[in-house]
Amino acid sequence: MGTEWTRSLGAEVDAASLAAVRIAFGLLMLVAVARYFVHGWIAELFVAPTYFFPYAGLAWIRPWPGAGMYLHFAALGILALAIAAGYRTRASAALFCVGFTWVHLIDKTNYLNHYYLISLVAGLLAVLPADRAASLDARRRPEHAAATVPAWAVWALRAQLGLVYVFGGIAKLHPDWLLHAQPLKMWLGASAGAPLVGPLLETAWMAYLCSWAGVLFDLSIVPLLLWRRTRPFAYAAVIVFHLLTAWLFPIGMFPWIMIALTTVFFAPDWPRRWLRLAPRPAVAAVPERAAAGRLVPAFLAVHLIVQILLPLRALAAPGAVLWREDGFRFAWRVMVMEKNGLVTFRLRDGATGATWTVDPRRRLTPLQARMMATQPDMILAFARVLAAEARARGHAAVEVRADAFAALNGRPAQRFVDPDVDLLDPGPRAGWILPLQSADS
Amino acid sequence: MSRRPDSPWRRRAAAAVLALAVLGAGGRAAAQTCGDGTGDGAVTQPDAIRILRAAAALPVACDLGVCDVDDDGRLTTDDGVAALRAAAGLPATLRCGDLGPRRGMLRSLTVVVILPAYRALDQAAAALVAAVDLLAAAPAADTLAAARAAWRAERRAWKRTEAFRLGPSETQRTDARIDWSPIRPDNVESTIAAGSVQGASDVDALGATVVGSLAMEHVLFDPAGDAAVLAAVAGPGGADRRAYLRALAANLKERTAVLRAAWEPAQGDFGEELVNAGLIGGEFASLKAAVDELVNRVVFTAEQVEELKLADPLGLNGGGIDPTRLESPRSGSSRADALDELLGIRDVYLGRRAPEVGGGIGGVLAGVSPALDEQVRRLLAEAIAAVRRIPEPLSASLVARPDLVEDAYVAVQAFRRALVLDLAPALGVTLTFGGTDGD
Repeated sequence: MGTEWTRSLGAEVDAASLAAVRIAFGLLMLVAVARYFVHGWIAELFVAPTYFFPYAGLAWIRPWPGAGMYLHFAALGILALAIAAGYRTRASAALFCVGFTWVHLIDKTNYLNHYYLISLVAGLLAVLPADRAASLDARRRPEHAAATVPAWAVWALRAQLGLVYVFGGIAKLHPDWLLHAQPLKMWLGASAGAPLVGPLLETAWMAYLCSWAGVLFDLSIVPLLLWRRTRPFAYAAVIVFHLLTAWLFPIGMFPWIMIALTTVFFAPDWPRRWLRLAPRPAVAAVPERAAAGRLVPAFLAVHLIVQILLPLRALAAPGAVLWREDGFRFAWRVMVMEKNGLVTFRLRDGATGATWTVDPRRRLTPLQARMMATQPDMILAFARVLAAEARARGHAAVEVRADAFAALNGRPAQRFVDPDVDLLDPGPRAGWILPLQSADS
Repeated sequence: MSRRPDSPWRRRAAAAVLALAVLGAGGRAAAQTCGDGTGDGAVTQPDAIRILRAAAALPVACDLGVCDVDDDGRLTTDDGVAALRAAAGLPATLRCGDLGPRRGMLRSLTVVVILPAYRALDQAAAALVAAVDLLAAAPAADTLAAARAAWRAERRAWKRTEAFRLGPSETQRTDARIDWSPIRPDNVESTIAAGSVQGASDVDALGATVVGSLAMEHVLFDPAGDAAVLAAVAGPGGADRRAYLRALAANLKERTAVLRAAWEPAQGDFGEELVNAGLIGGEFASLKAAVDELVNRVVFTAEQVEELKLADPLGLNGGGIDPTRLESPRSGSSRADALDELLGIRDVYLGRRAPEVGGGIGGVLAGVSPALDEQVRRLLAEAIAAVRRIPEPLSASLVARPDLVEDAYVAVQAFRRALVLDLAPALGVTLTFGGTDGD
């Protein structure tokens, strides 16, 4: 069985579907990068802030000075085009992966699940033989061209996408989602003005219907896409589902990325059949196979194990994940919460007794202030920043406390952080982050 | 997948979509009976009484979608009488609109709150022009007092509109021309001394820091007393000062007239665009965008009161008590400014502006969560009461009763917190914070 499975993964399959995914991904990334320019996000996210919330150990990742970030994004656009065209594909994908990931490691504020997915897919394209067909590389170096790729290359992408859906579905197996239809009840109601279906979206039963349909979709779509007989229907469901989310929610490129990438679940020769291209040669060249050896499949195996373990790390954290956000990032908890917060910091000089407050909205961008207000690690980080500034002004014995309130998935707002705890010496997280008062989480 | 165009599953799917559409279009009408304010399924005497009570602004819930039986966006005694006639079996036409809660709220706000507020503002501006003209013609204690009263009335009318400053109110940038803060007193004096401002059109060429309501305040009020004001207006060089004052008032009137015109049904009719957001093009791409804008404006206004009008002068953000950070300390209107902005929020939230009663944001919220609506109403009332408790002038209270000012700050903050953390999510409102996409 194991041998058969290994042989099956090592078998050569048509390179067309991988090439199609590469082209679609490159073009979508070009659009994604263009949106940064069009919407003014480069200035808003990387030029305007005076402080960035770094990831642990990555504070050295900073925006480029001057026009550097604009040049950085321009380079990403060029790399995206190169990926689509298949020009020095692996190097382009690797550079795109590094460049895009670097941008999003600058500030926790900007974390989005689909940005994470983009980094992962770009990274995979850097190691997968997605350049063998329909690429400038194949034309430039005919000896490198091939009509086939190892099956594991296709399966690697399928597995990556499958994890997004499966963990996205698991995250929705939650009382908020299933029993209270939250946050969809709030989100759908806001679209009451939509033509034709608007009044429906206001109803509670529609929120429940969408919640349950959503979780069933996430949990079942992978096997349905894998099974040949259900695949066309499943892909139609993929399109409908993602078009609906694109219409109802401001989630940018995510729906289009998923619609494009899930084509990898089709038989590897689907582009050839759809475009009525010549069938692939009976004997396919596999120039890289020997060179790549077992290194790439082994790397992919480790990558997938990490991808499975990362979302599961939340199981080791105490308390409600959506409230405390331990293990929330990099875990595909997609569209599962509406969380809002407000924080005011109270500073006190222990030596003089002087007190003053800091409204973070005056120091951070509106987006940073909003994101920080719901994420404990960011609250803590900003408290330390305020303390450092106070010490620099001569308040050596400064203490920082926070009046932080948050509301999760339709619950009444409640205190988020213990107002009596000095955030410079907060002790264990279990203490300073107050428990979510409502049941079910 | 079958590609047959008339396959059974396709027919079934089409039928299901059609059924959903029909259900969606007619769902609300089927669930609610026009005039049935109590929601018991029939129009009876208690319904009529409930409508009459709501029309009298008594504390009773009456959804505009069923209580406004003549579909004019208001709750009036006419609605109650019509319901009473229907309950008694007499001929009566009950015709509730089918706009839905959110569009209905926007229409009601336009009719009951926004239009009357801009009309009142325009009238107040006209009265200010007249009073300033009188002062300029005959500088004296009584004409000065009248001009000041007119100035206060105009300012109060303007502050009352802050909570719905959207659409033309924003695009015309009226705020920057008639209520810029802070002004620069030195520049005001040098502008007067230059003698270049003789008419309303001259004001258009000036920067925001030397025009508008607070520039007028600088001329009309003086810490040195009334005599100093009159001496400056009537004394040597007073002609330029009078001309400047008259030009500011006239320009302010022109601006408010343009603003009012943009909302008047017979002219710009922006209310129509607001109510039909997402259907007829215009500034708002969707109904959600329009509601978002309105709620964001309310939140922003509350934030302005909390931070700029209370916390900053009180020194809560550092620097100690500082009356110079008040918005209009010269006239002693700082507390009134804060109060009027909160009253404007109340107008929008309740959908009321005496004597008229309609539906506001609170009505929509009550449809989602009556308890939350009750909580927001309570917090708003407490915030207004707390600000009212501060003795005017606020500049003196900052020193004499900082506890009362801080109480007001805490109350306004609690209200804003409810808006941001409870109301906005409950209504699915996206609070403006810039940034990129979600998830």
